[in-house]
Order: sequence, then structure tokens, then C-alpha cells
Amino acid sequence: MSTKKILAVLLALFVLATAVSGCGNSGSSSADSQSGSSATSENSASTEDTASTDGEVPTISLMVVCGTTPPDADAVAEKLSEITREKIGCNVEFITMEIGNVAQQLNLLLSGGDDTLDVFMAGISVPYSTIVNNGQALSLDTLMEPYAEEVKTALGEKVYESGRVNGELYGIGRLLDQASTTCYNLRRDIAEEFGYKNGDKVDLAELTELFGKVREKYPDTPLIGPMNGVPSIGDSRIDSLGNKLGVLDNYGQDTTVTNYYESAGYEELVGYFKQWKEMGCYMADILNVTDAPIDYIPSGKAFGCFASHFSAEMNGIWSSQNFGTDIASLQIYEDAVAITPGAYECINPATKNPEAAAALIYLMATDPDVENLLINGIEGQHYQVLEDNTATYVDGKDISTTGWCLGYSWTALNSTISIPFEYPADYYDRMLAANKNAQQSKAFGCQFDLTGVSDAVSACTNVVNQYENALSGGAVEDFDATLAQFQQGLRDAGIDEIVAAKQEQLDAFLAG
Amino acid sequence: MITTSKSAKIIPHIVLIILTLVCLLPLLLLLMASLTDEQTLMLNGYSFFPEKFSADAYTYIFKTGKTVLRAYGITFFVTAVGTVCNVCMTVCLSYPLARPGLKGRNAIAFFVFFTMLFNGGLVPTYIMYSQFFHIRDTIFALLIPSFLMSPFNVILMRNYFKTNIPDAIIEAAKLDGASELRTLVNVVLPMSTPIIGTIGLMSGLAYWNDWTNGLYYLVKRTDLYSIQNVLTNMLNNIQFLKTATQLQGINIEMGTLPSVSIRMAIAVVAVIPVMIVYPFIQKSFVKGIVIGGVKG
Amino acid sequence: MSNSTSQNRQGKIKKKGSFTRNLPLYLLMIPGLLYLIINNYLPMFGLTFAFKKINYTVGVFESPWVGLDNFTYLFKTSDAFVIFRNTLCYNLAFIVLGTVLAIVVAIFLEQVRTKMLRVYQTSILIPYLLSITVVSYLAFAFLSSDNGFINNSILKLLGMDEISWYSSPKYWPFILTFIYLWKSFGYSSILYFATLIGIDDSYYEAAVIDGASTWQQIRHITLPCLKTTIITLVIMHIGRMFYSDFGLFYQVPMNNGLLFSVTNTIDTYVYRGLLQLNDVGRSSAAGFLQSILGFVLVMITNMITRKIDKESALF
Repeated sequence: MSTKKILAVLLALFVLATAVSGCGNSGSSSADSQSGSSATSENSASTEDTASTDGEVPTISLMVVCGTTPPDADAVAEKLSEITREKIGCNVEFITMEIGNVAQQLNLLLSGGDDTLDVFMAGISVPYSTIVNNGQALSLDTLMEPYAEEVKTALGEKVYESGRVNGELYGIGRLLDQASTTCYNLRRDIAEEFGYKNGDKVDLAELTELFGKVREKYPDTPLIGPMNGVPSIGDSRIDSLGNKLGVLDNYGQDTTVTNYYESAGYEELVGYFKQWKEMGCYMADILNVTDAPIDYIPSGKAFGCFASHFSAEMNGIWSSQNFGTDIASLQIYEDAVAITPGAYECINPATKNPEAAAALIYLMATDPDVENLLINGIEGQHYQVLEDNTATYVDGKDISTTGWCLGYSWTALNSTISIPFEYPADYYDRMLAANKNAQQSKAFGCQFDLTGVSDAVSACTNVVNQYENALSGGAVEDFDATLAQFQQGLRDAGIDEIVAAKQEQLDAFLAG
Repeated sequence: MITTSKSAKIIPHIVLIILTLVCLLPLLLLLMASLTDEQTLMLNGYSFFPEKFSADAYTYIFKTGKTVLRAYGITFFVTAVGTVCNVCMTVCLSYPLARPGLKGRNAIAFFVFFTMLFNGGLVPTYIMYSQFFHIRDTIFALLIPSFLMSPFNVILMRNYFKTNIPDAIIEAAKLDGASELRTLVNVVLPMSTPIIGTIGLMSGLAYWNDWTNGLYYLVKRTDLYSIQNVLTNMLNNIQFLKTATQLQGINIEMGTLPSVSIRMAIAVVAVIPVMIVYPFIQKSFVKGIVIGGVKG
Repeated sequence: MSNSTSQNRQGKIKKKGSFTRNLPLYLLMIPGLLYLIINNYLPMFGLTFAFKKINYTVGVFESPWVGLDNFTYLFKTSDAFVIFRNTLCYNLAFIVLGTVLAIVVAIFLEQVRTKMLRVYQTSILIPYLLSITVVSYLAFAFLSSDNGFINNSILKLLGMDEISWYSSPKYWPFILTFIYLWKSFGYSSILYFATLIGIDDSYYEAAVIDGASTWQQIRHITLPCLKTTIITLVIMHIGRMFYSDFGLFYQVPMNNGLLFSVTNTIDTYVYRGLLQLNDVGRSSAAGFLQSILGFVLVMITNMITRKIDKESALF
């Protein structure tokens, strides 16, 4: 009896083995005949029905970033296709990627010769300059030519032009907040008790004074918890030029690239870290705690955290909605510098339909209906519009039950033309105003290519990983000695090479 | 079995009970943490006896992961089919390698072993499977890459055949006129239940725990995600959001991260089915050993 | 082997038929070998990436060669010594302690012939089933400063001071070794156990009649039977001597900079260094180097094994 069983299994095995080898021998012809499940050709199974009625309409696949794979992706794609068929003559399908998988999946999909993905956003996980340098983005100059003027109007000329690397356009810049100030989020009742309200400006000395007063009254509760894992306090007065290894000081108005970690500003900041640590402001194990503010602020485990936002006031409003308790957000530095966008919409060089792909990018930049679908989903099904022209969940749904990936407007090309979702009605207007009012860095639009100094970049990244968060999280014993080690480590790792390389490229950028 | 005095017989039990506790207690803490009310966890810390219980974490998982049940189904299917194929292929390759006098067997053994030291890396493997074999977005994507046969298992099984199956038995079977295949199935395999059970277990665990194939090869057919895909995606997203501040341009609207108890519940959801199924599999495996022992 | 002369003569007569006679055996191997060719050998064209500057527009095959450029970043840094030292020392500790622990547990398991066996076997395998990310949360549940189980419950109970685990590198070699052993010993002891229960009881019975003590039975019967398995597993681990479990060294210490002196290994260094560069050439170079060094170690170990005991050698 057992013999028969085993023979049956062996047979199944050989069938499987031949299926594998069969695929290999006969290539595409037999692969397609296999159960029709291989979705390698341009038209995937999901759009078969539309393809049959529309004949030769090409399908463009678009990367969509989400928190969990949305169940209604096909429905939204079909709605979007209705618009795109009419306006630019193509269908759209989505390749959804969960945020934590973007780096891995994008890297594989762009590994050459594969046209599964047509339009994608570079800069989420994988830096734009790296994508361009690896040859993973198509040159867009001629493709975007018919739409250039309109897209420039929608996104702003500076953002549009910032996608140039060595004079060629490889991506269309995302329009989002360009100038972020550092804010300190404090539970509102505590802030009011000590005479502060949402949106107030404080400097580091004043903030430290406030910390002292709060500590005195509430000695058991620390003041600084983690935000997304690290106490993210960045200096909004510098242009980090992509990675903080070599920066432009003085709101990007200097034209000399300097080593940030040896600047007076950074040393001053570390001085405050030391003071805060001595005052006992930091939450225990701040570098390892994976709790979000919603976990530890309402429970009274810590009073606040640092964050970045284009407007402290707006940040307070948003945080109050998301942290489960009322928050007052205090702005720390006077002003912020507007820097190069962090993400760019690009086209896969292997695409079969570059023109249609470019047209889709054009719609994403300019068409409110398209952006609304991509950001908020289908009206009535995923969102409803309130009287003040803001959007919210349809009744009875929330983040975990809705069928679309809401809350990811920051991965869209131009969220400013969409209806603000769970934001105040003037949210995007104020963001655009903040962009406009901020000082523009001289290096705005300069894309640095650090391939020539890769060895130094990888070594310095390791050194920064070792010391930066340890210092800002108040986790070291001797701040002065650690800072000295940090600076020495960077010098040994070759930060001067990176500074020099950036300087050279910046000079060329400013000259040309 | 090693024979010892009566009093010494108790030692293995003592040691094993301690080890069992060392393995189980952390899991119990995990289970308790997943059932603890979030605020209580925050304030009182981790405890085996939480003050306030809450099943919110599990409601969250089954609500957001609407696909959890289907994903379980796919995982069971892939694990069952994959394990059977894996064991068959391993037996077929390792048995000849254990036969003395087979020409070139050392060379082939080296050919097998070599793959454990060198591999081309993810990108070339992906290019090959997706562009030449077109397995992307099919169920084969979960079955074939990496796990269909492990060179490690082949070498283990060859060792077992070499040391535990006397040549004389095989020669005797052949003198009786049995073919190679018949000898393997009727004589060798019944004597090899311990190793077959072990290899099956290892392969089954590998399939059960795998999420990489789904991540790499399921681009459009996310409905084929296994349970580990669904769960590790949640963890990956937390991990990303944790480190995102180091990247430029992402500093707003991170949304809220799943809480600690949800993460703990995720782990529990992945482990529980194995804990339920494993003893049953093991039962037949132990039975096989006893039968094999009688025959030997 | 003793009657090799007669076999030789027979062999000469049957020589022509040797391949045909063994044909079924060769056929049996085909699916397995085919799979290895597809799954493992074909992608090895990727080993060339280590010597190329990959540009996806021109394709991975046509990308230009750059010689050994991709390797330099591993040695240019002052951390080079630390990452190689950590990788090797941890692996050495894992091999020695892991093997000893697994064999001891397997021997104990083999002596249990009651229903408890199933309980033991199931429980010791559970740590192996947890993903390393979950293990890192679990480790945090124990080690966290104010919430952690050790500080919060155990040390408090003993009246001892809290220990700030995540800022004290001196504890981490032990913590990481403990976690590695905890996670893996169940799995490897079951491997040894499978060989042990295949040993014929009559050997032990005969030994007992000769008056052998427990230790003598272990030394003269159990260990010799396990010899091949032990050597195989150790050699296979030696082949991965320059690799490290990324999750164990990155996620469990939570990428904490304070602990780098004892947690940074080749794999974590490469990961952090290439995060921004996303350079497949450089990551392939690291993998290539790890493989080559492992290969050399394995060849040496195997050669020594062959000298001492030909039958136990891997090939």
C-alpha cells in the first residue's frame, strides 16, 4: 500500500520537474499555454475584459505605495482607466507595494529588461540619484516635451527642473513640503500650564528652560520620546544635500560645502543633548523602543517628542488627531531652508509604451480627478467630501477597514491638487505658501552623484549609524569624548572626499 | 538506548524540563503581551500576569488582514505539496550518492556541496526565474525557488544511508531480483523513517516560515500571499517607518504604527498552527521509528 | 573492500555493463541535479557582478568591468578589523557551543522513551519557528530598561540594581550567543537525534554485558556513530564562517550604535554601507569574498579530515 503511495508521489514530482524544465526549454510559447496564470505579457489577466473591447489600448502599470495591500486596487485602477482611456488613450493597472517592501521590490522589478512596472517613484527607500546612476530611469526630455509647460505650472519650474542630472531630465519632482522646521510636540495641557500654545516659537535655550520647569514639577515623566524610532531632531537651517555628509550652512546661502558634524551648530546641539540627558529628559532606551507617540504620550509615559513639519501649528493639529491626545507643537528654529525634493516620478527604461507612460505622469501632475483617485480612492466608496471641502472616511469605515490605501498622499506626485483628506481645508495652500516663503537653498535642484566616492560613503554611513542617534538619544556617558570620536571616525572614513566631491559638483551646478 | 542506572535515568528528564521551560516561557510571555491591554503594557511593563487583558490585537489582525484565512490556506497547500516534493527529490538524489561503487559519486557530491558555498545572489536568481521561467505571479513562485530541494538535506540523508543502511541488505535484496527502485522503496525507505521524518520536518518548516518567495515573485497576484507574507509585511512596514526619518523627504503623516501587542499577536498567529500540527506529524514519525527499530 | 581482488576481476568482466547496470541510479538523480542546475548553478552568472559596475540600461551582461574596485570598501575602513573579528569569533563560538549543546540534548532525548518525548521535542523546536524580528521584540521585552522582564521582575526581586542592557556592550557577546543557541539548538539536536535512534540497541546491550559505564557507552558507541554527522555539520558551518545571521546582529541589538564594537559583522556593515548606494556590484563583491574564504576553509578542513579518517570526509 505504502509503495503505491510513494510511487504516486514520485509521479507528481516528475510532473512538477518536467513543468519546470518545460518552461525552460520552450520559452514563452509554452509558458503562456500553462494555465494562463503566467502574467508576463503587457496585458495582465486583470484587464483582459477591457482589453477585448478596447482592442489596442496599451496598459501602463503604476507603482502605488500602501500600508497594507488594498483590496479595492482593481476597482480604483478601473475608475482611473476610464479617465486615462479618454484623455491619453491607455489603461492603468497598479503594482501595489507595501511601504516596508518598496526598496526590495523596486530593486528587483528594475533589474533590467523587465517591463512589468512602467511608472514608479524613486526616492522612497532608494534615492533618486542612485536610480539614475544605476541606469534604472528613462531620459524624459523629449517624452515630456508636449506637457512641459503645463507640468511646470502645476509643480513649479524649480521642482520640474530639479530632476536634471548632468543636464538630462530623468524624473519629475514630487511637490510636497520643501522646507521643514524642527518642532517639539508637547502634550497640550502641559504646554498650557507653562504658558505655551500650539505654534509658538522657542529656541533651544528657551526649550531647555521649559524642560527644566516641567521636570521640576513632574519629576517622574520624561519629556522626549522617540518619533519613528529615533529622536529626530534635525537642524532646519542647513541643506543636508541628500545625506548630511557634506552640507550647506546658513540656510543654504553659503556656497561652500562643509562637514556638518564639525560645525558649531552641531556642537551646540550636542551640548543641549548633554544638558537634556543630565536633566533626565530622555525616555529610557529611547533608541530601542519601537512605540509610537500614540502609545506613550496618552499613557503618560513621556510628554512629547521631536518631529519635522513645514508648519509647527499644522503639525500640532495633525498630531492631535493622530496621537490620541491634544498636542501643542513648538517651533524650534526661526526658519527653514527649502531644499531639493526627495522623490521623483520615473519611467522604467524597459517600458514598451514610453509615450503613454509620460502622458500618465502628466495627468498625475495636473489632473485633480486622477490625483484624487490615487490618493483618496473612489468617492462614496472610500471617502466622502465634507462641507468645508475636505475629505474623510465614508461612514462606518476607518483606516483598518477601508479598501484603499489612505494616508499615503506623500507618495503621490502632486498631492496639492487633491482634496485634503483628514487635514484642514487650507492644508495644501499653507504648504505651498511655506515652500514659497522659505529661503531657497543655492543647491536647490543639484543632484549629487556619489558613485566616485562610494567607499567613503559606505564607511561614513556606518560611522554616522554608530554615533549620531546615540548622541541625539542621550544614550552616551561622555558626550565630549564621543563627539570627538565621531568626528575622528568620519575623518578616517573619508568624509573630506565626500565634501570635496559635493563641492566640485555644486560648483559645476552653480556655474552651468 | 544508552543503559544507565535507575537513579541516573532521572537526569535527562530534569535537564529537558529545564530546557523546555527556557523555550516555552518566552513564548508564554509573548502570548501574554499579545493579550495585554496596550496602556497596561506601557505602564506596568511585560508580565506573565497582566492586570488587564484585551483581545484588541487579534481583532486588528483579522480585521486588517482580511486575507488571513486565505493566506493560511495557501500556506498549508504550499507546505504540504512542497514538503512531499522536497522529500522525494532528496531521497532520489542522496540514495545513489550513498551507494558504494557508483562511478562519479564523489564528484556529484561535490557538485551538490558547492551550491552551499557559492550562490549568484538574489538579482540574477530573480532575473532567471522571472524572465526565463516565467513563474512570477503563479503558485509555482511559492513552491520552486530555493526550497524544492536543499543540498544540506541531501548530504544529511546521504550520511544516514551510508551509516545506517548496511550494504549487505541492499545486496541481498538485489540477489532476490528486486530492481533498484523496488529495493529503495521496499527495503531502504522503511529503515529510514527517522531521517525522512526529520528532512520532511525541516523542509516543512522552511516552507511554512518562508516569506521571501512571495515578496520577490508575487508582484500582481498578492492574493497568493502566504500567511508569513501577510505577517512579515506588517513587521517590515513598522521597521521601515522606524528608520524612515533617516531618509530625506518623509517627515509627515506616518500614520500610527501597529502597537507592541499587535506585533506580539502577529508572532503568535504564525506559530500556533505549527504547535497544533507538529505533534500529530511527530506521532506518526515516532511510530515509524518503532517499526523501523523492530525490523532492524 | 577486503575481497577487492575478486571484485576487480568481476569488475573487468562486467566493466562494460557498469554504467548500464547503474543506469536506474543515475536516472534517479536527474530531477535533483536538474533542480540544482536551475536553482543554483544558472544564477551563478551573478558572481561576475562582483567585478562590474552594473548599469541596468545597458543590461547586466554588458555592464563594464571594473576589476577589484568593488572590493576596496571592505578594507578601507578602520572598522575592517572589528567586523572580520566579530564575524569569525561569533561563528567559532556558535560552532563549538552549538555542537556540544545539540549532542548533549540529543543524547538525553534518546533516553526518554515516554510520552514526554513529544512534549520536549515540540517545545525545543518553538524558538526556531519565531522570525528573528519577533525574537528581537522578545529580547526587548526581557532587556528593556524600565519595562523589561529582567530589570522589572527578576533583578528587582533579587534586590539588585537595574542594568542598562542596550548601552552596555560587555554583555552582548553573551546575549547574542545565548539567543543563537536558544533559537537553533532544538533544530540541530533533532538532526543528531535522527541518527541516534537509528543505532541498533544490541550494541548497547553488548556493552552493558561487558560492564561499560554510561560514559563509556557514550564514548565508544554513541559518539562514533554520530561522527559522520558531526563532521558534516561542522564542515558545512565552516563554509559559512564569514557570513552572519543579519537579523541576529542587526535587529536584535536594534541597530544600536552603542553596541557596534561587539555587534558589527561583515553583513551588517555591508547593509548599512550600501543602503544609500544600492550598489549590486559591491554587495556581490562582499558575498563573493565571503564565499571564497569559506570555500578555502572548507577545502582545508576536508583535506585534514581525509587524512585522519577517509570515510568521514565530505567528498
